[in-house]
Amino acid sequence: MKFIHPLTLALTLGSSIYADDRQAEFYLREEIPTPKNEVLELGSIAIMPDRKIAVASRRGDVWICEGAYEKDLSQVQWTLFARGLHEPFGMFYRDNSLYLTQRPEITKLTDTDGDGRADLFETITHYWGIDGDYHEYNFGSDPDKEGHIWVVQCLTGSSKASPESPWRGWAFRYSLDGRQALPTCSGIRSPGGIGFNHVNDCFYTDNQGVWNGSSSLKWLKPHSFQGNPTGNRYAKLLDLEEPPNPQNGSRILIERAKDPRIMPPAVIFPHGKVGNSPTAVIYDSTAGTFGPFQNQVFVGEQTQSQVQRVFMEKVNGIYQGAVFKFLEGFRSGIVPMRMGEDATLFVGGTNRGWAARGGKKFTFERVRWNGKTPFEIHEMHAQPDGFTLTFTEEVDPTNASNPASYQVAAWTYIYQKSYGSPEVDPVTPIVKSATVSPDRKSVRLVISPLTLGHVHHLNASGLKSAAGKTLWHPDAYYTLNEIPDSEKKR
Amino acid sequence: MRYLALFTLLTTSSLLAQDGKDLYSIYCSACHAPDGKGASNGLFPPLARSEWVRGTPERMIQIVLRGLQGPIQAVGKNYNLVMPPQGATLTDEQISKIITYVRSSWGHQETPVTTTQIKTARLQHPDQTSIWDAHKLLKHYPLEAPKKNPHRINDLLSHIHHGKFKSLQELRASEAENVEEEKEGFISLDQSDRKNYFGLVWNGWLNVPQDGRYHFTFSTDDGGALTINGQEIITRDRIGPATKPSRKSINLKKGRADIKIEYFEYSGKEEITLFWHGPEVNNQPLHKKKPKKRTAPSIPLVPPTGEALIYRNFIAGSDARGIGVGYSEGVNLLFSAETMALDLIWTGKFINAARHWTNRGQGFEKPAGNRLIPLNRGIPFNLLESQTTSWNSKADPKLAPRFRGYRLNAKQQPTFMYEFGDLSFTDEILPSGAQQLTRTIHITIPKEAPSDTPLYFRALSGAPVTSTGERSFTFISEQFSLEVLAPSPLPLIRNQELLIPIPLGQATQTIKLTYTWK
Repeated sequence: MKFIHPLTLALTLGSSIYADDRQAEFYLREEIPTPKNEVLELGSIAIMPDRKIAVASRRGDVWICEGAYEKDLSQVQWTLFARGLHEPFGMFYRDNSLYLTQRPEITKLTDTDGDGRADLFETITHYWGIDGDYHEYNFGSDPDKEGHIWVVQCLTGSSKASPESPWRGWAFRYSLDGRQALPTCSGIRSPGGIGFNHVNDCFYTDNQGVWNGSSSLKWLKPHSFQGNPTGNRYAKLLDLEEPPNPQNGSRILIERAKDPRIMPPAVIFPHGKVGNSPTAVIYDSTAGTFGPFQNQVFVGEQTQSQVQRVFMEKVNGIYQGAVFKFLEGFRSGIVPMRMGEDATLFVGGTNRGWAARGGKKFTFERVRWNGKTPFEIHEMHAQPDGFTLTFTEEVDPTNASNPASYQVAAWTYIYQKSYGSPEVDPVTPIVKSATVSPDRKSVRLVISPLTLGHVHHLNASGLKSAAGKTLWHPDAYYTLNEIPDSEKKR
Repeated sequence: MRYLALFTLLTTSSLLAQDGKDLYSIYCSACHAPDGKGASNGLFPPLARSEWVRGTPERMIQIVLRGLQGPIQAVGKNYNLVMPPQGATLTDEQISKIITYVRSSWGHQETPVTTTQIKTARLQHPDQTSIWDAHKLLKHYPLEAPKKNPHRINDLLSHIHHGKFKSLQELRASEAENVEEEKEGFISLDQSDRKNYFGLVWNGWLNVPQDGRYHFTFSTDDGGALTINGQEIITRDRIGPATKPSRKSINLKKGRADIKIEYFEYSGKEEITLFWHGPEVNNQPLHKKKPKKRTAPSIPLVPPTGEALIYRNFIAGSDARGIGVGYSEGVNLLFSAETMALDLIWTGKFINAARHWTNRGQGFEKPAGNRLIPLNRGIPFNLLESQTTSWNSKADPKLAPRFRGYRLNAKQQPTFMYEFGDLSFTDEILPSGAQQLTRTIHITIPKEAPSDTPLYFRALSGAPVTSTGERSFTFISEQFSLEVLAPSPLPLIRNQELLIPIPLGQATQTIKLTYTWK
């Protein structure tokens, strides 16, 4: 049995840009025409009433689109709502206003005279500092149940924190009236997006760089430390407890044991293999009308112009899980995403300043499921001695019960001040047994050894469905922050 | 040393089988493209044909290890991006494979690079703990100059003649205005100081590689002549376009051959080309090729007729929270949402957004117009114990500034809203023609005044203020004036400041000003 390497996939992607043409069997990706003569480098998408969509561009314009759900996209109508905002990332609609997180502040935009254009721009908060560095990006969430907007505030230049620019490298929650500014998490580096999962926990993506061995999806558990100590200096401004100071050149697992405030990345996206720059965080809020991935998280990928799929579970109170490749072929680098009505996924993109496979300077697209179920690993659960895989279709039991149908490699990253990390401490676990469930929709793998703290890369290209299909995406990367004590029922 | 020790642990099984091309594909091709031409149709720097790849590998190794930032030129195009460092991500072996692959791909034929070279390079420049600035890196590892052209014109001199020449005779009857040494060894019309009514005469010598017959191809707009070793072999004594070049051959001996080129331009288009061809000389141009025009990107922002346009970005003259407003009347302003000061006003063009809207948008852009008047930087409202208390640039905690946003009228013109402590302000600034702004500040004062200490508005600061009347002042230039309109309180001048006291006894106060360019 030849080990089909993850690299093979990456290489195919490298040589011919979109190698797997199976996507069209399941999902329809369509470009939505943008206003003529406008550079609409999308940074935000908001769903509005009456089947309207608002988008905000990096140039600072807000446009409203009508017809984005219709069959004939050539008929979409665009209306200019506002200009002159400062590189907004994160916008939502509430009570007749659009709220938007821009570089200097959170702003509420309202059309008070009903002429279709915003005339009132109310500053909700400008609590954080900015000093003129272009990299001080802020990504704002939708309001949570308490009415707070979560904002992740990128470090200055993605690696610095100056006294003139307070609260870089922190996540804050701001109330919609601007009266509350709650320091929520320290340890942020360079976010690419923020959003909630189906149980209202907040996550953001952080990019490979200093103190980030690889890019990852991180859980913003209030009062946790997300890994990068650069912004720690601001804690004293509000008499907060000094955040952890991890040792350079260590491992997350080791430092976590010393200081439990350190929150390990929920799901690591191995650099180059899964992506290079993760962005938007949304979850499949449909009732299964966008495919079989209800409640799973989707993450944008700027460089590869893709959307990745994430399954997460909580083990010993900590989120962890697996990332799978999902959608691709978008025309620019994906930054914002939104699940709209009719199970329509809207994605927007830009490649200004950061290259993307899609090649176009900007794009606005939608994706819909055509009702056919792809053969995929549906979920991947950690077990005390391995993993349980569930599938979207019944598997071929002969094939699925053969341990040789699965290959596993594991590694971790150096937790360090330098930019990124190689894959280190490699382990090659053996698949000892593979047991197919009576309904043939899941397989219990016993794997030895399981390595705490390591990314476990599973390749199941040997597997076939009962109907004889191979997996659309055979690779899964599971971040094993915790190993459950006892058998978990799936 | 701990760092290096960790690298020895690296035998990640899943990476063992990779060659340079695989690694390039995973780690580099997203930006530099699988074909090395730069991703997004060359929006990102190419490696194919790049002078950054040629010659010594140390420069490239350093870039891969420590990253690169700042403006660069590669294959004739400008870039200003950031390459993230890969030294902590990739092993010595991976880096050597990638660099060796690039140095032998897409036409490059450079020597391979060993892991030892990477190891050595890691230890060099221990002070360079951050990303390399391009200019600093190039000081250590300069790009190799393009190879010297062996077939240029030696000791080339250009003689510039001024006159409305229509023939060689007229050109030859004139005296040269100026003589210049042209060290590059190529003739070029850039060596003239004008576009019309001039002549250029060049002389120098060619180094003929061997005895043989050499062909010259000469084209001019308007006329000219080519003389080799004293023999005028091509004569184009006419006014007209460059179409149809003249060709002539001549036997030359190995060694020095004198060359003289005469040229004149009456008016209209101008052009000159000259090639030579023969043994060991392959159709070699002796004229300088026109450099590709490198136009700085320009995105001028023009307010629509009758409207204002807002540009919120980093604008020179304010802080990072500056808000630029351009009015179609031809006046512009820059308001700080950090200090609430009207920092700067100017006339003419608004601003060029290219700096921020191409690439990543670093830096502060200067206003595009003229007659810039920096009115006042820093907090504009303050409590002063007495008229001699100096202005505190930091906000009084009782009077902390808070930006509340702005409201746009039908012409998209903003009225700014802000607070200082419990005092709330609306600040409306409107154009009155192409040379005047009228500003109305309304202050709402709560019943309990915040302090017994008097409040002041600093209308001008940073330069001497000259009084031209009780309520009229000039500032920066005699051509610029400020008027404090009644019934605003009477202003007072002190050292490089104009202050307006604001009584807090009433529920509201209004200050009305005009700013006028003469």
